[in-house]
Amino acid sequence: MKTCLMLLMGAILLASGCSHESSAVRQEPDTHLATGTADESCNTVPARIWALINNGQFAEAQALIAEAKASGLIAAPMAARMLDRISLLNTRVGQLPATLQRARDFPSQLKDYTLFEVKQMLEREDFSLATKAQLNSVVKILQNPKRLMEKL
Amino acid sequence: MTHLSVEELVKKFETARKAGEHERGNPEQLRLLRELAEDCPAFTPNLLYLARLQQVIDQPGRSPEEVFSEIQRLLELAILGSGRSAPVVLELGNFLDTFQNDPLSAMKLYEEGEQKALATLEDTWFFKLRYWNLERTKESLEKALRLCVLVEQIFPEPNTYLEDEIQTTKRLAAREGLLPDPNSSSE
Repeated sequence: MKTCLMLLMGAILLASGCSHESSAVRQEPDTHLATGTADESCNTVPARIWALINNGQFAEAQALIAEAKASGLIAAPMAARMLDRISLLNTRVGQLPATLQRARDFPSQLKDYTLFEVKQMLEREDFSLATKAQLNSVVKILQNPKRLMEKL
Repeated sequence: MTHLSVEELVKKFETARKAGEHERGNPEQLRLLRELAEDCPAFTPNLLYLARLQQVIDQPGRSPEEVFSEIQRLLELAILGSGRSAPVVLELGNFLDTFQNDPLSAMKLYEEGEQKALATLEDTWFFKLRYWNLERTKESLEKALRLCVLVEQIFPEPNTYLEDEIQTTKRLAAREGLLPDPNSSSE
């Protein structure tokens, strides 16, 4: 089991590298607690998983979360937070309530795109599919339902 | 019309919430919530719930503009009824930001909500420090000292009560030998 996990982690580390410079890779609260050099902290399992999530490599992240949780390398609440984050970033514009999608200026051409992809367009300043204002608006609308559900 | 008691209001609100257990925002649930909002527009938990709910459900027969104006009205009433409580102020801010393209008004509300929430936090921390200081065990003072570090980061100029409680923690902690030098700790 452990050997299998180490191999999987090794494969993922080699495959995606450790990109501290990437603007898509933001430090997560959990990694702040990690001590040691930047390279060491990047090699911790949680930091590795957050980096995968921030890069949009959700399938790899999910596999690593399952392995790390099963072998006790990350606690269940952290695993749950990681999966929640993936689920949020994976929300598609077309999943929003139809009433909201009928609003004026709603970019229905984005209905098959996820929150992650819309955020990527904004970060890359790619306004080929929608205007900056439309992208900004869609990000806010997509973040809304999950936040509100927790309060209902 | 006779006035409903607060207990009756809470009971009606719980019934309305339960009506959405199987299908959130079904017509019957919406009817119950709206009826309660009509009967008692000062009962803010219901207004806030109805406003939040309508942002996550589909209402086939209604235009978004109609829904948005109802949500905004509910939140504005809730602000009045709650004496501008932080959660309500923030909810209206987010609504204006997300659906009415009014980020400037939203930011003002975010700042107001932030100030209110910070004032609550300042009180909370004062009460917790006082609790631990009165308990006055090694464990409680250690907890208090850890909180003091956080307090000083968030409130560099704490109010008089909080400041006094911080100094008490440090004095007591020094006597317990938890702080090396009582004189250097008051900086």
